[in-house]
Amino acid sequence: MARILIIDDEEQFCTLLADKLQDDGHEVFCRHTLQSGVAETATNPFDVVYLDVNLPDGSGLNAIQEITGGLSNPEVVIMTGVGDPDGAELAIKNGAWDYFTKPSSLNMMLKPLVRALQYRDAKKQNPIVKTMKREGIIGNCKKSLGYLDLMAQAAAYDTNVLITGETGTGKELVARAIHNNSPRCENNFIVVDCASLTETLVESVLFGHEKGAFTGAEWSHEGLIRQADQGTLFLDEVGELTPLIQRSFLRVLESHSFRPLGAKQEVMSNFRLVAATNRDLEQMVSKGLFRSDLLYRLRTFCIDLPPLRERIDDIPELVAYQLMKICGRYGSELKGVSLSLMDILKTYHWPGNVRELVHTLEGMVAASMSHCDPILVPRNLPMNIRIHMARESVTANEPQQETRNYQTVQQLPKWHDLREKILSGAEKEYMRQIILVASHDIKKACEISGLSRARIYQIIQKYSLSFTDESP
Amino acid sequence: MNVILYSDQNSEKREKLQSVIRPLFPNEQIESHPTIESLEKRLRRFIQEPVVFVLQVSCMRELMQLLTLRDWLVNRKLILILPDEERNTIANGLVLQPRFVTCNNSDFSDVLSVLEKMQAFTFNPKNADYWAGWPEAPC
Repeated sequence: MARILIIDDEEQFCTLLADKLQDDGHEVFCRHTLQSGVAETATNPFDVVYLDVNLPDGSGLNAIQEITGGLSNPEVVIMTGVGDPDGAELAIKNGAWDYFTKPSSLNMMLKPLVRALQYRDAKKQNPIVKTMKREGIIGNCKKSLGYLDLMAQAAAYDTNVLITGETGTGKELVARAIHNNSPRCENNFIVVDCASLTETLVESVLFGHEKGAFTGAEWSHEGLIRQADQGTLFLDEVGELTPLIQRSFLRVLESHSFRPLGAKQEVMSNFRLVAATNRDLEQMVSKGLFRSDLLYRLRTFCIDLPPLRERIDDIPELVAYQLMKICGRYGSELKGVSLSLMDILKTYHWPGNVRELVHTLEGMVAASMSHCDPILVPRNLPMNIRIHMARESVTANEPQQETRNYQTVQQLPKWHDLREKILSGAEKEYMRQIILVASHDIKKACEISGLSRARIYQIIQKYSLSFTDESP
Repeated sequence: MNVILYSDQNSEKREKLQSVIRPLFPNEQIESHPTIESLEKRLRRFIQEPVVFVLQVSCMRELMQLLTLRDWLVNRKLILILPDEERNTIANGLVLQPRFVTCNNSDFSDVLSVLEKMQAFTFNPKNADYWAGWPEAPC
């Protein structure tokens, strides 16, 4: 018997589903608003939560993580009245167990429950060890704990893992941590940097070769796949594999055997596969750039790493950890961080993620060495970040004037005046960006903007901009 | 892309490796370190990305010395040239988390090929996000 919560504002539907579940011997509770449902999961244990998307006080999709992070980590089954592929994708990405469209037959609604309960039973019998070597992975915010939990599951089982995430999010670090927490940790962790492998090299690098296998093969060479025997083979930047190499890999993944160049017999290698990419492999499959059969092999278990801008709460801890390492390496005293700098670090969008944060800190420490400043301040930030933040603060203020609520008819501007003001603002800002991006090169500015030289001069004159001076 | 090259000044293979790499990178893009001390000093200063480390190791003792610099080399793009392909040598070399491993008995055409591919990847506009937001050298 399981404890089940139904969160749906349609009382009739709740009663229908609850009756059926109770007939099957489950204990069922119903809540008709998102807030009351979420509160229920925070205080009472449930095995499964049936969650509606369109609730009077919000979308169920936004509450999945809060519910799955609740007291008993229940499985969430999403139900909605409107078929929405994007919503379905978001639900699964946020950790929902399954997704169905109402109206469905009662049997269809019960199917995910049976599977979810079987999964929970299995999980109880084989609890995942949550004590892990983190291997330098810093962060305790909700999103970090989410992927650390997946990492622990991946380490406990021997399935193929696909790690996705933006550049600099720490995919290799996670791959290494999976290996180091797995039963294979005593053996090799072999990296195949798919972005650096050429087609001419790939066979001898991966499969190895016998002496005399080809001209220049004056020695025998053990390939990476053999070296990964009993260990982990990590395919980094797997989206960069050319079609030929994809085909070679697929064969190896299917049989775990291969024939080194010039060898008479196939060689077995018992490796565990972990792959990582920042590319959208699904999209690459639809464009014919990536083999669908290879993708299915790779993504038995998926971990999607959140970008740093979605883990703001981890930034202070990350900064402290990295500063300790960097200052130690530079042989300098441990640097502190001013509150104003920490505010900026938490506000900046970090397109290069943790890698960018680390290099930014390193640059700041290096720059501050000559001044012996014990505290890092915003002025120590690299110019690109300071410019970005300055721009953000200007543009963040501008739209407020245009989108204000007009209280009286007299306050409303004429349509043409308002349009002219908004267009002028956008035109001026666009041109200012073009000048910066083109590094004050008029020819380059023409190429980027598609505007003629005369038109560009006309616009910069209109707004008193200049091609030699950044500040108008 | 710059190359930081470590190769012991007494290594017989040093000249051969340099002659293979030099046509691809102009002199000002290659920083050569003939001793581990000089490499260590360099690692203590700011390193402007994008950069690839090429470490040519001529014996196990040298590899062990390089392992003491492990914390400074991880998270860098690293090509490691090992003295031999013994299991123990490879296992120790992997501690440095290299992107590519080869052996001193190679003609280094594999090193050249990997460097070419890394350079092409770095400067391919479609990979611009890979280097997104990397800071400039401190003034």
